[in-house]
Amino acid sequence: MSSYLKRYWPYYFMLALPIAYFLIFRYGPIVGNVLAFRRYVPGGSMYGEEWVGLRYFRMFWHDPSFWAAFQNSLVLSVLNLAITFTLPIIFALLLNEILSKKIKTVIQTISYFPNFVAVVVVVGILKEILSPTTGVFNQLLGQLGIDPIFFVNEPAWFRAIYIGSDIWQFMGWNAIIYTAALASVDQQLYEAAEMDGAGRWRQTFSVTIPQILPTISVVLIISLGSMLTLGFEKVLLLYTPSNSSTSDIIDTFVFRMGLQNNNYSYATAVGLFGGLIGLMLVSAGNYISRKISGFSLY
Amino acid sequence: MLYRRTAGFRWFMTANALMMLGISASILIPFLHLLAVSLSDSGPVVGGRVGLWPQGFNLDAYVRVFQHPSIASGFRNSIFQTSLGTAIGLFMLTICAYPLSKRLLKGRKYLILFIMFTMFFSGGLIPTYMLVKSLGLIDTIWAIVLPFSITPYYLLLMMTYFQGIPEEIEESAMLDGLNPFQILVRIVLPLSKPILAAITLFLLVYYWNNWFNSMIYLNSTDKHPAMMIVRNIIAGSDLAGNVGQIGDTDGGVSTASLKAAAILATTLPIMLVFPFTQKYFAKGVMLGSVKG
Repeated sequence: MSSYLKRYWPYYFMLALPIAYFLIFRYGPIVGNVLAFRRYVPGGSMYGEEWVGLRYFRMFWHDPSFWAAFQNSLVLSVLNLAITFTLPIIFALLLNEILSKKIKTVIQTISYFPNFVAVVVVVGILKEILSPTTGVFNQLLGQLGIDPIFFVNEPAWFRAIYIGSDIWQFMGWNAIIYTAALASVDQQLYEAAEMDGAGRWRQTFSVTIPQILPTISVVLIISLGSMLTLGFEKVLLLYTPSNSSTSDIIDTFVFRMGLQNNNYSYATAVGLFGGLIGLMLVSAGNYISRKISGFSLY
Repeated sequence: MLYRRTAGFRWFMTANALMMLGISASILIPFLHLLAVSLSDSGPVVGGRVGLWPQGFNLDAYVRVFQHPSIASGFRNSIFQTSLGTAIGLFMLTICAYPLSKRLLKGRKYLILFIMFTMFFSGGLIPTYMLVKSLGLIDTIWAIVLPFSITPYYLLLMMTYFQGIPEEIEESAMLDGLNPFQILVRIVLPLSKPILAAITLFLLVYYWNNWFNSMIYLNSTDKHPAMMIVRNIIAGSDLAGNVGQIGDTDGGVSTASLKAAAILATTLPIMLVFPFTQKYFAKGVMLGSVKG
């Protein structure tokens, strides 16, 4: 046995189980995507029984309900990204202006608590406060003489509810990374700026923001790449047949077609299509970032 | 600090403080409201007259929630799923991250690539489901705790942390005759408490809050975790089979109170643990940001 192996075999031994895990549970399903090109027979192989080419891709390509879901995914993703990417930066900057360190810590701690609240609970709270009979919002509307609105059933309100609750749940948590970046800004830069006569606003735009710009761009690339990864579970919990014209996204479409209607191959084809678009977004984001800032994920 | 004396600055500081107060309040108020609803008499709840303070006071909703057979078993199942899932996850992450943190390990680069690829492209919902099904794991706890035992992101955090431990410590332990397994258990893990704490907490929260995998993989309702029961209660399809409209009452307890009590009971473990552990959570995310 070579001296390398003599020393290093225990590490390979440790890796055996994790590698088996990745082969089975991560690459198994990746290979399992061939189901999109094969006909599935109940009780048969998870990889399908016979090749059918692009049959299932053609099927969803000509399915208007797929395109509706595709469009909903896109609209919700873009709106959500624009809002939930910007707000944590603003929140971190404003929190940074609070002078008392103690109060700052308390606010920060409260702000990231919702990140750990279960999505089931978030939707439970939403349904309770938005309820047309007992909900707080409709009580307020009632006092203004406005008829109750069944918010969680209205297609027009779905996106606002989704994004609003995302802000509530994740703004504080997503701000942590900026708060950390702000804490590491060299205080001498502010002193120098002040000597030069820079006011508070000037300092924010000429010192603070340039200093945290690298962090902002890294977060932006990652968010762009995972843009289509919407909170599937929340959408599923908020989904009702009456709000489906805005709440049906690619993921819920796949869930419904695959696990509720048992059209496994069809749903796999749709899921693969969505996954490939996601992969393209990640690669594009990574490429752009490498060109602009020299930073890349891989 | 000339600007600190201007009226504009004082105005900004006041407005900012008020806004921060508003944000904190908007996070706490929903929970206070639920607490008030869960403790109130049914009359004011059905009439929508409960704000942040209970109208009347009784614990009937909690008594009923905990007497409910599927909630009691739900809590047991949640504890079981959470502890097994966290234990397996920690074990797998450790034995995967430690070898990969050795820079001189041959093939390390390819192994990391092999693992990280799954971060950007995953099999998707249906192929994963088909795999779990063909492995015969449907309706067993293994369907919940095995497929997600190594999260590439947590693996990255752990690997980065292990790499930060000075080589010399391990070298001298090796000269003392310890093998890599002993070094991992006796030296590396005790030095890695912050990251282990952070990842343990992330895993605990993940498994405690998870309901979707139970919904698709566990057919027997007596295996469902508490979060799944709460999901059914909120969807209005469960709770002794007699839940109808929101305004209904059930043996003197309104369904709104029952829902509120169920929500709070399942969130309570996190609420209790959070204040004492939040610094580890934040640390976990910060450790990740070092790497980018």
